[in-house]
Amino acid sequence: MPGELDAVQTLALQAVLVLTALLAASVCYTLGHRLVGLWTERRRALRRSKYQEQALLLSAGELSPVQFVRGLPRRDHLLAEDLLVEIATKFSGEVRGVLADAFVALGAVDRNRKRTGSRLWWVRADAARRLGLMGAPAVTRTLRALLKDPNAEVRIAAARAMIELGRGEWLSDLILSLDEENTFSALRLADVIMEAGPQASGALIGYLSTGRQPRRIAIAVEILGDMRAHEAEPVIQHLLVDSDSVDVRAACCRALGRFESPLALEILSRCLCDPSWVVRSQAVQALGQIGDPAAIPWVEPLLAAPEPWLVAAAAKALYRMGPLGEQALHRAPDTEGTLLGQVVQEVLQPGLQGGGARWR
Amino acid sequence: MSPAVLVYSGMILVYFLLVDSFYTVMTVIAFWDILRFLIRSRYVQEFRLYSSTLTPPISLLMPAYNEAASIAECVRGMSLLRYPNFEIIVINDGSKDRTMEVLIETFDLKPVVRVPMRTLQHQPIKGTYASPAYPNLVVVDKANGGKADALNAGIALSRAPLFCAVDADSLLAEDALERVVQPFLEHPEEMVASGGFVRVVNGCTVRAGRVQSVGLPRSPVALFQIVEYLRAFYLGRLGWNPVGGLLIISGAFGLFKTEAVAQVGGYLTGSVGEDMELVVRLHRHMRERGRRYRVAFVPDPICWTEVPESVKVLARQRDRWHRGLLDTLIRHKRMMLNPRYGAAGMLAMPYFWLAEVVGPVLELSGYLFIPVAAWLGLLNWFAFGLFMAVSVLFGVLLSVAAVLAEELSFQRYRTLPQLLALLGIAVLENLGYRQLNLWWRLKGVFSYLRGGHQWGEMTRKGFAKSK
Repeated sequence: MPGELDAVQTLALQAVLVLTALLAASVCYTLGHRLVGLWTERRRALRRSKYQEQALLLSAGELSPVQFVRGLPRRDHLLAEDLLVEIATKFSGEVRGVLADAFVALGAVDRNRKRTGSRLWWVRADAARRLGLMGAPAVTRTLRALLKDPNAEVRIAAARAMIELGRGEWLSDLILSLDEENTFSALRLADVIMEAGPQASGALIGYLSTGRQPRRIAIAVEILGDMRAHEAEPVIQHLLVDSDSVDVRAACCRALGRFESPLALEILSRCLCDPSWVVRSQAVQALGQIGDPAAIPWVEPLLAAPEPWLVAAAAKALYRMGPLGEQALHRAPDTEGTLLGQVVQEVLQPGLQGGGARWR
Repeated sequence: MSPAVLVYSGMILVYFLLVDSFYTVMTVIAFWDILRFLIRSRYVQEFRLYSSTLTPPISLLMPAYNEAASIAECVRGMSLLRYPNFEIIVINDGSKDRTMEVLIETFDLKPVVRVPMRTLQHQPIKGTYASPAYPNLVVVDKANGGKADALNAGIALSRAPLFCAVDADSLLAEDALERVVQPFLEHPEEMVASGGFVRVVNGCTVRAGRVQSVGLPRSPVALFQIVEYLRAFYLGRLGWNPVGGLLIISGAFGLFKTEAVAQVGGYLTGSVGEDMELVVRLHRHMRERGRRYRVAFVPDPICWTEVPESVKVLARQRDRWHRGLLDTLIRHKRMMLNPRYGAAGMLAMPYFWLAEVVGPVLELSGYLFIPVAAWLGLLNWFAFGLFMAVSVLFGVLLSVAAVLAEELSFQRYRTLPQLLALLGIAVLENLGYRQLNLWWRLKGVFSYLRGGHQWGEMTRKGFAKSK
């Protein structure tokens, strides 16, 4: 080693030292993270198991919330809150009622109400989720304020919490939020609205005429279809005729299929000539779901379609239309060795593995 | 010290500082992005995307060339993906082995008519087939034209607004499609391409087209590639993601907007780096037309791919990758340091030129310079030792950072011995494997300059023998 180091060498030597320290720290952190993770996981599981039995007794009403909290050291209040939140996600009704008192006794409601004011969105979202599960009606004003939060995740968590609390009067606020710029958030909001059940259908039908974004309207139609909200059928039929959007038309076909209403046969049959294959495919599936043999003359020509999935969907639809549909399948041209032949053979032989049973 | 040696040392030092600064910044960005992603995925509750018809239909395009060993299992695995509306289009690119026969026998394929929806450059299609038992499977038999050519044929026949290019030697995780499509749901108008994480399947247990348990392979060549893939995806892709400079969506797993790709003419046929070339062309096309667009990387959808276990095959693969990279960089040199092309032109292109083209040449010159300088008595051994130490330590640090990123996020390698093995490989990788890689990349430069455009034969074990 030379007696004197120049500036570059000194810098390089410092870099070696810094890099060695960083490397050692990274390796230690990686290993430490795994070891500490394993250790805390086990420790937490042990501590939880201590209270698990009491929590179950509390849920069963055999232990009062006051007794439950009295037996807990203060440092374990958060652990107990987590445990009860976990139980609350799995139960409803009476159990939730018992747990609600325990949450109040644990101070969890106040603690989470304070957390909704956090600057970190994930803390606000988590607090909203917990408040919904805690079932404290006093928090509805807090949650309603969170429906206007700038962060979509917080809004979704607050919406879900409102539904958990059974506060259906805010549904129109939620449905208007479907106009989120982000389709992914809108889809997830739709998921929340679905959880609200039939009480949401009126507000959704109203949205079909006021909504601006076709994809969001399609989401609303899909929710109505999944809810089997028959009262929406006339509006959906209107939309199917008037809408320029493929998304909306496809969703309308799907919804009409779910209603299984013979009133939609004619309008769906017209969709079999739609320029979009997505709509054609949804329409033929919907006709199959309705299962009315009156649609056979419209569906049968599709057996000659060039698209294999349309042929498959048409064959499946005909099979669902009962004996007359099966006769139509038998009438298919002598197609041995072709896809149509195979499809027909498969559809007509229920019970075979990968055969008829798959098509139902 | 002679002025020539001083100038040379200065040049090496400047290069070293520049590239390492790039890596450092990207590592910091990548960790920030992982943190953001983890927070979001922890608090974003599961929802019924997989059952919603509102998710856009996807055509899964699988070009296959001599994939008889793995094609059946791969297609079966793909058919089990959890996504409401997708079709699988397998494109047999004139295989010389039994790929087509295996497909016909396994899936009982029947000839069907399928009309192309758009015109793209590709070799003639000999026939299209469908399976009654797998209604969403279409097989295209065409004359050999290369991977890009096969993908173009698939795009032409696709009816979906999005297509996902997947290698026939890869397996997708069950939820891969619904995760990789997420950016398209968040920004339906702007998104043109998104890619997922490609992981090494060697050493994993695969059953019925699904990875049952994650393990490490016995082959050291495959082991080194595990850390290499972690580094490339965690630090590379995630690092470029937020700045809008993502130039590569892996050919093994990438989701694209069909019309956007058709507008730029599809994949470049005859290219061996078709995946990167397409993404760069999309950047260029969008920027030149002043359109708002996004290219995204999502870290949680997983594609498992089989990596070469022999040095010879790996050398061929790397040679090809490097030729593809060079071809793309030269083809789109106009983007280099051109503010019109945003982060892609101002940051990503200079980085690739510096680290991937200039880097190997400079590093080789360094290895040649050392013995010459030592022989001439010009070498300061202490300075040389320091420089080597910094270089190796920095390389090891990056690899360890990738393992740390994996540990902090997805922890696919669940056992402590696996983690220790990965850390060991992260260190060892810099002492030999990295130099081998340098040699392959240099060979890639020379074969590109000689005009080599061959794909190179790849040998597959097939997933049934994984583990």
